[in-house]
Amino acid sequence: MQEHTITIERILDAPRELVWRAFTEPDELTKWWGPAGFTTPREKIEVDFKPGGTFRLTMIGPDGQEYPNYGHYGIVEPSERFSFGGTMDDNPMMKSVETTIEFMALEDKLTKVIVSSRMVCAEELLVMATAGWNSQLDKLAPVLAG
Amino acid sequence: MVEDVPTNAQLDRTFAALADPTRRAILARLAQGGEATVNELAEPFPFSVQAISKHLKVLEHAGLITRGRTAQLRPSRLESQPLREATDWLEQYRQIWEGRLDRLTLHLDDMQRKASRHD
Repeated sequence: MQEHTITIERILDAPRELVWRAFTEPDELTKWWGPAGFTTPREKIEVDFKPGGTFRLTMIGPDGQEYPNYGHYGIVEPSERFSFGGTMDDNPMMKSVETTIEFMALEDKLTKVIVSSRMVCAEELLVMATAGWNSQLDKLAPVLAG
Repeated sequence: MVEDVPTNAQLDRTFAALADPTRRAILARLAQGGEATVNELAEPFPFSVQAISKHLKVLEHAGLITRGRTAQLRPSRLESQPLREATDWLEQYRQIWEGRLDRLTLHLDDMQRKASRHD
């Protein structure tokens, strides 16, 4: 198994306490969670927001299909950071995901949010991905040589 | 977070083919370079050549390898495109988060408008 981490930063025009609430309170989560075209109905959100507590959110896709999300919370440090994650039983390539969200108060009531998602994948995936690029370049060489 | 990301048919075929450790090992072997015959690919495994042939068919059907048409031996070689799409799939998580933060931005405006009305 190998790890693959993606990190996303965003500066939001709202004070940190408010951003924290948006991420951690079900009444707020229901209003924005999920990709475009998806909804997350309030009655489909169950969270036990504490270290080791479980969460279950079900998103409804544009086609009406349900996409359940579930797992557990890891660290919870109010207003500073929290993490959540879970394992995937039915995905051959990705075994687990652990996401940490950090909240930093900036001047002028701005808040910087740093999302880092650590994914544990089948190690062959990254070996093959590298090989895929190499073989792509192998194909390019003769073209350039004309 | 466990998320069922909607996938397309090619990704489903790619991941189904990658679900088997023998098939992943075959691809990793081909990724190290060049072509290999079914006999060469079967060598490290305690399975028959016939069993390896079945795995090669699955990989070929998924478009992860191509096999020579001319020679009797039909050497296999890796096709990189579907694998690249599979890794790009990991990057979809980034896009999901970007979209989520876009929506959060809008929602925070709402929350602040409500808060100021209560002041």
